[in-house]
Amino acid sequence: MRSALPVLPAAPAAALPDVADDHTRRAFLADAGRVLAGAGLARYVPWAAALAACARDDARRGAPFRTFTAAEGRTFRAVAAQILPSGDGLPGAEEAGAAHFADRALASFFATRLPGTRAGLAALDARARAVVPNVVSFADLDADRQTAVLREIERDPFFAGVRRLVVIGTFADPSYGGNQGGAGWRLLDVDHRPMYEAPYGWYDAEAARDTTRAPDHAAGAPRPVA
Amino acid sequence: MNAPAQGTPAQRTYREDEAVDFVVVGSGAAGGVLARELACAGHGVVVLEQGPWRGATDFRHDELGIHLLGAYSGGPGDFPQTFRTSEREVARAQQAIWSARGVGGSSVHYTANFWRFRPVDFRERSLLGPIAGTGFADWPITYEELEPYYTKVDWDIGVSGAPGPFDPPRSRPYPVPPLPVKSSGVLLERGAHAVGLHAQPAPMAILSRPHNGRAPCMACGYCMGYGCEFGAKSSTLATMIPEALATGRCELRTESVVHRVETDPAGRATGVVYWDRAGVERQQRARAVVLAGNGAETPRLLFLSASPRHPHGLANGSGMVGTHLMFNGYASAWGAFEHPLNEYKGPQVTRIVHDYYDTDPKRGFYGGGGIDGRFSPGAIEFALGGLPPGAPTWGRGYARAVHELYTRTVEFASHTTSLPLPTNTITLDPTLKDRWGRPAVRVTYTDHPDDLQTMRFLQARTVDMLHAAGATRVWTTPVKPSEGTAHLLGTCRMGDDPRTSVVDRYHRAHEVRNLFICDGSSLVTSGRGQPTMTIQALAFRAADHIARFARAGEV
Repeated sequence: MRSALPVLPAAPAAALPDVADDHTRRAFLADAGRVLAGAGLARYVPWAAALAACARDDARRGAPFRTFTAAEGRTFRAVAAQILPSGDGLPGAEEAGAAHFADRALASFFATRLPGTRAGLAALDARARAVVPNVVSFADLDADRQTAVLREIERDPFFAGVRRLVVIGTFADPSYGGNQGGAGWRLLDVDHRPMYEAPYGWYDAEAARDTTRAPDHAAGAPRPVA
Repeated sequence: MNAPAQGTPAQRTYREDEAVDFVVVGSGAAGGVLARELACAGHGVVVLEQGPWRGATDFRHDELGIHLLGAYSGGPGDFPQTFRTSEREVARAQQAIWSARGVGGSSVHYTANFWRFRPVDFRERSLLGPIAGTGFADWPITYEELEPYYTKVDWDIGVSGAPGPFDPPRSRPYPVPPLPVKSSGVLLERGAHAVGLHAQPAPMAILSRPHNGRAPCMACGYCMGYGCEFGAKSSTLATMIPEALATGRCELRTESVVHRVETDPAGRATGVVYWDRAGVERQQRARAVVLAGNGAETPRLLFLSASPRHPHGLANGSGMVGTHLMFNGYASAWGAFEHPLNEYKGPQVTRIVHDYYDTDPKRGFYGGGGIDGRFSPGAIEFALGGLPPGAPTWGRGYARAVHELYTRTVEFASHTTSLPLPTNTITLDPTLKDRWGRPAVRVTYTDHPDDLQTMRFLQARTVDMLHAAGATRVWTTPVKPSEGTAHLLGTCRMGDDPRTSVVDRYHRAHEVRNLFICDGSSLVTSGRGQPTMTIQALAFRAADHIARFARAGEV
């Protein structure tokens, strides 16, 4: 088990949009998310993707959270890294930026889940403090204690909801702010490209080499209309 | 008048207050064919489509936006639904129908399995006898009558494939060869052969070679549930609709929500009433009305078009509208293999097994089906719920399982019959409304026991095939009563007897001479789980007859 979250490098300045533009986009995102949530339409708006894409540039792992407080974001990241940990040379939810995906999703198309997520993260921190009295956050626990605490709540709706956010954030299209750098594709062992050519997998490649295999057109001859 | 939506090709426009020859409601699998055929036959056509026009840039490789958030299907606002298992229950709000809203309808996002029905499908009732408690019936038409139109679908819509050992007779070969076989197809062949069954290339409405000026499949992998940015999937958006508009006789109005078919005191249809994109109520007058909204929207529209002359809904003197809903059964078995299959590449299906197509009375229950090799879940769906039973759901073991199994898992899927039951229905929900104020669609459905037996029987065969193909681990999705579908069949069934059917053999409503209904609702029996090929063959045939009636002044 990995004992601590890696220290993240700050995003390079060039990767961040200029401040005024960033501010405008944040305001737009937040306003749109509120309007859609209020109308009960948040999950069903085709341009939700475009809206989320606005956030892509600044959804960097080092960037501040917008919906989560810093403390909530830190706890969420620690849970995410427990759900889909990195290891064996493969990235996990942390490398995919799943927490930053959740930060944006909970302000827009998953807005209805924000209060429950928020309450659950606070409860998790409280649970951590009950285990080790001098810590502030679940994220302060060592990995084994984090695992043990999550075992206690793994059947709770809160855990299922966070797991869902973490999985979606790791494997969804990067335009939503997660799956950063294709980390999710690497975890899936997917060679992510816009199109492919046959052979696609081991078994069809093997079949293509097999000269004794009947060609498709030998499957049967056309029968005339009776 | 609505301005044409962005992206819509240039087109002829019609006045609303002058009767156009035909108004077609719906631009999907059937509506697209009817519009193209009627316009090509020289008639003026207005097509009203409730959803938007989408182009290549709208067809993203985006599981979250399109599968999970329903970008194409609309949500509880656009298309609220309720579900219950019998009329004794109060239906609860629940999505039971997966359909796309937009030009091309569900032909845009379908998987494109294009099996023809077989001669037996049209006369099973005569061959097998009655089944108590069901509306099991012969069709008023035969396979032989429909065969030329199946061939028209092959060539005009664009179907890839090669003949198989159990195929029905065909008058012309496929226009393009089968798509390249995937590992799922190779393993299906291997498993089938080992247990004495026969795999064959899957007929798919996806081009393997250029055809009719369209590009072939680029194997992007975003096929089932997605739109094709290359136009290689033979949706009516890629095929029929552009050809209909190019005649100069067809106008397509998008985001136009039809909520009533108007009739005059003599009982003839005079046009339709709809809300346009801005929410303004409009009326399009027409000499004849053609409904192609498929098996949920079409009966809802008929119910909403009730009048003193048609108190139980238009064309519903028989009480048959909305009844005999058929979902088709679906059962999955899964196998993990030693090497990567990479099923995320390419179209869903490349091989099928049709040895169990026919009902075998020795099995002791009605039903049959086809099997295909595929892998239907996307990455998110697989990671959330696709791992084998007992696999870790979080932590190191979970990450490892996702990494190892996503590329190494295959699904052998069974597609099966549903008996037509009068108690399985589409009706209007008494309380829930959509955002236009219309009653929501209420789905009432319970599989016939034979339907569940058929699913279990075929699933057991697929388990055998997976073991025989060398799977290192095999598991199943338990067969449970169906609570939803993408197939909406039988709710305005075709027949010669006006007391037991809604439309006649030419898709003319028994009670309204100038109202035609042609879509999934027309089907008398369910086939074996891939209805769109037959819906489109029916649409080509219906258009031929409707145009003939128009020429003869019989509309």
